[in-house]
Amino acid sequence: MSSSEIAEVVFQINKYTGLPGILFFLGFLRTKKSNTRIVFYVLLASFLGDVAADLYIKYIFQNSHLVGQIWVITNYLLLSWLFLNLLPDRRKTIIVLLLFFTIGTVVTSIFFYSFFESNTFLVTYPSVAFTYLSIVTFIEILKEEPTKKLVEYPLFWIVTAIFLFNSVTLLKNLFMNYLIFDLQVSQDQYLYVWLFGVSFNMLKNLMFFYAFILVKKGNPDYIYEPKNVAL
Amino acid sequence: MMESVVTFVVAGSSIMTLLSVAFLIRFYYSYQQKNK
Repeated sequence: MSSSEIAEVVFQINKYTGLPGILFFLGFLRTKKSNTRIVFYVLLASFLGDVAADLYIKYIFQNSHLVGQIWVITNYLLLSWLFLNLLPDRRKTIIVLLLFFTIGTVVTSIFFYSFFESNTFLVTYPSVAFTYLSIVTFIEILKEEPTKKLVEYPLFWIVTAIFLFNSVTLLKNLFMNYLIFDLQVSQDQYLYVWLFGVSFNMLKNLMFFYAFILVKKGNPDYIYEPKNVAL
Repeated sequence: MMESVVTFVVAGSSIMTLLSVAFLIRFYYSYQQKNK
């Protein structure tokens, strides 16, 4: 099997790992609970992004960085919304991070990178921001009086998925442009780097799915009582 | 050059994976201690 065939198979598997969570939410959950609903939107954006990237490469252009950039921006906005709900005390920090992200994206898109290559700022900044915000959320969870087993707590799985995906793909995102466009590494060599991102994306999708199952069982998807949460 | 950068990124990502998992285990342990 050549590296492009392996990449194609893994990419297709990766794409469909989003489906169980989406179908479970639509079929059994449809909760009005805000946090779960936002996670559903994140999952949907991930799935649609993968489907769009697949079609884009097949029919429109040789690489899918444009689709990737649109997904990163959508994902950033949705996750900011989620963290605004989870961490009402950190509202200012999240808004400042969002402001930097907006300014940085506009500046780097105009002056440094085209839409058809990997924008290093655009892909690396969310990794740093969400790794930080996930760690803050873990600390907040720890501060609250624990009432349930951690593994039965949907938010633990949701934040773990976000934390793992963003922390592990940080280096990959930082070097992606350099590797592909400056060094022009071969597909065989880049496959190892690419696999990191895809495997943790699959893990993230499946962890969201598991979190949905836990919400269905009646476990809470918030840190503080809803009356304190700015929904 | 090419190969060394790829190796650096793959090794770095592996280390990040280990560190992240170690952090999660530490968090789990702290939570369990508090929950006792």
